[in-house]
Amino acid sequence: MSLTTFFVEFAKLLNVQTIFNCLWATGFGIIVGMLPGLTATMGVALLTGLTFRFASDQVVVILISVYVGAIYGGSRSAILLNIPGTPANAATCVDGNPLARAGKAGYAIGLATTSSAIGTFIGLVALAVFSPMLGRIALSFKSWEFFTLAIFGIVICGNLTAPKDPLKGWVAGLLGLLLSQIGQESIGAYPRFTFGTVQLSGGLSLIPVLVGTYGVSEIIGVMKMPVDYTVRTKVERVVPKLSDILDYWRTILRSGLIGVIVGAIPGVGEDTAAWISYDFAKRRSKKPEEFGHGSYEGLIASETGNNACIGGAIIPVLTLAIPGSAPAAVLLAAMWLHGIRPGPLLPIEQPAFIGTVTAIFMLSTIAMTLLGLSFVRPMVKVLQVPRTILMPIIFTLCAVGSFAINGRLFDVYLMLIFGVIGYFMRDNDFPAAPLVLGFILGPMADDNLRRALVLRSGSIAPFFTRPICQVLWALTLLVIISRSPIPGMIRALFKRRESRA
Amino acid sequence: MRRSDMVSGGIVIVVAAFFGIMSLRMPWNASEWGVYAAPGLVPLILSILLLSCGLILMFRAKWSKAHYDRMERLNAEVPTCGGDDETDAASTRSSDKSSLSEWQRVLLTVGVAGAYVLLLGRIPYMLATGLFVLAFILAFRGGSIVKAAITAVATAVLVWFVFAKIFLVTLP
Repeated sequence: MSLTTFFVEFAKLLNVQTIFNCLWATGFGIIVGMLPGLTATMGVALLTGLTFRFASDQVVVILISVYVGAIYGGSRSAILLNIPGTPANAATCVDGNPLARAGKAGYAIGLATTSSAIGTFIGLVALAVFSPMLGRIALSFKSWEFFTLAIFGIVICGNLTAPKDPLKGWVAGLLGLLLSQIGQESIGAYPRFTFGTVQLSGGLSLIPVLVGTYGVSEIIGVMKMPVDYTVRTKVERVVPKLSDILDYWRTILRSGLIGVIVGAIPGVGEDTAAWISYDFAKRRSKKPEEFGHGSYEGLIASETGNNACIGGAIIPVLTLAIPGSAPAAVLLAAMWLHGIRPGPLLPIEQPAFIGTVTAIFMLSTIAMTLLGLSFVRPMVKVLQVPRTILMPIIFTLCAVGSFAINGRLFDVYLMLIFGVIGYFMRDNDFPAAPLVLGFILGPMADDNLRRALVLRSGSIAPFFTRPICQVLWALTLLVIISRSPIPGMIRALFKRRESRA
Repeated sequence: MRRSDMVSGGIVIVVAAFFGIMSLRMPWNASEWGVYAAPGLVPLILSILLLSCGLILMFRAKWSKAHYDRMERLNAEVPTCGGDDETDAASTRSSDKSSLSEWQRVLLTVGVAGAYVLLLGRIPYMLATGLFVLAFILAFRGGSIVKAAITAVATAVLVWFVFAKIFLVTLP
């Protein structure tokens, strides 16, 4: 994409309606991100339902602005309360809260804001550069490649979102794939697992599943805690010194790159990007002993990484119609709802769309920076609303958002059921991201596997002889073997041989 | 953790078996493309994979010591968020006024939310929403009855006004 295209698309956004929508949506996103119990996914999913009647171009502006705002907003509660507002900000707690305890809460927020802005900018540059390239490769994807990609996505997502126990991640992914099979299948319209009910014939709707899994389960998790938190720190200076940013330019670039790469991996989100960026920064730092005790570098690394991940997560959405993270999954669903068709044909059917999305990212980054640096004190007051008042209000919004898409109460029941399922999954260390990714990729895997078998009369050879499939299978096997007992057994064998020698 | 993994594994096996049996009962040669386009093909494959994972989970919970030793070690190493017992200069904690256990809090949350969801569509939206917010605040002793009532009415009216009148969203 050329710079001219970017500037032309950016200029088109500079009208009162778009700027107004961008500002309020970014502010809403910051508040959603800031409040423990509300996630970026939930914020985007809520607004997908609530803005159903808006024009599609404005919906994309609103949802991307909420996404950017929410991923950044979680840093506030991470710094002030030592509770990440969203999972993406968990790494921010480690150095952000010690800074707040030392009386530098405002400065930490300013550093987080600036790092988030730079991270989002790196993400949008990657989006602009790599989307067209990946789009050209995606045109050679056929049924075999799409099926293999779905399997690879589930395996790697399960591995990275449950690093201590990937088996649970894969179970969640398989469950998501199975649940997506409910409803009429696409080849013969046979109703699967519907028990004769009309409600299930159309399948399970994605937005209620997402709102339930990410929203309602968080509400239950928040209300489960016996104690509430109140912010009482004073927030003083917010705007950081330029030298404090420039001193860590290597960390910023590295964290940005890590964020983009992690974001592009299907289903793996901003929390993984933040932790990997933090970990690399600590290993490469000249002062690793400061990490965990208020290191500026640690804070910068985590916030740059998680915001750069947003741009990375949108790359597979636009080029392959595969979400790079949970909020990106909602964005994908919203695009489908409004008649936008992401995927390999997007550059052909809507050639300017990638440029438009890049420009929207730029606008929301500017909005996030302005709101983040100027409305610190009023926004912190939101954290003082007791959860016994906030959580029921959030639940009513979840119910409205779930109902709004199809206008049926069944979706509200579904939201509550998945909220309970999501809560028990998390309580037992089963990650939610692979479940959601499996739910989205299930129809793609099902259609493409059966289509591929029909095309070649049942032959599975093309799955293993086509080059892209071979690469994907190799990566999938590598991930599974690396987490199996086999590497440990091989190491033990070599150690025994060395000790005998 | 072992016990919860055993239970989780059992649930996974039951779910996988359910989907697998339902898949086998679907027609396998009804279409002109035969078994390759059968509606039960992909669900059956997924059920078998899920069943295998469930069995591994159960066997590991029953017999593996190394895995749980490693998990304990990893859980001890991870830096935690969520506040700690030290005096915190940035925030204070207030104990909740209700003396419910964690399980009771979960059940209460799900119960009140479930009652609200069942009321939707049966009584006017504003009334259902107002009653839900009121019941929730009072159940968790989040404020006096007057404060709860004001919050309930304000929430119900604002949500209705903003979404039904401004966003033009259909309300339940």
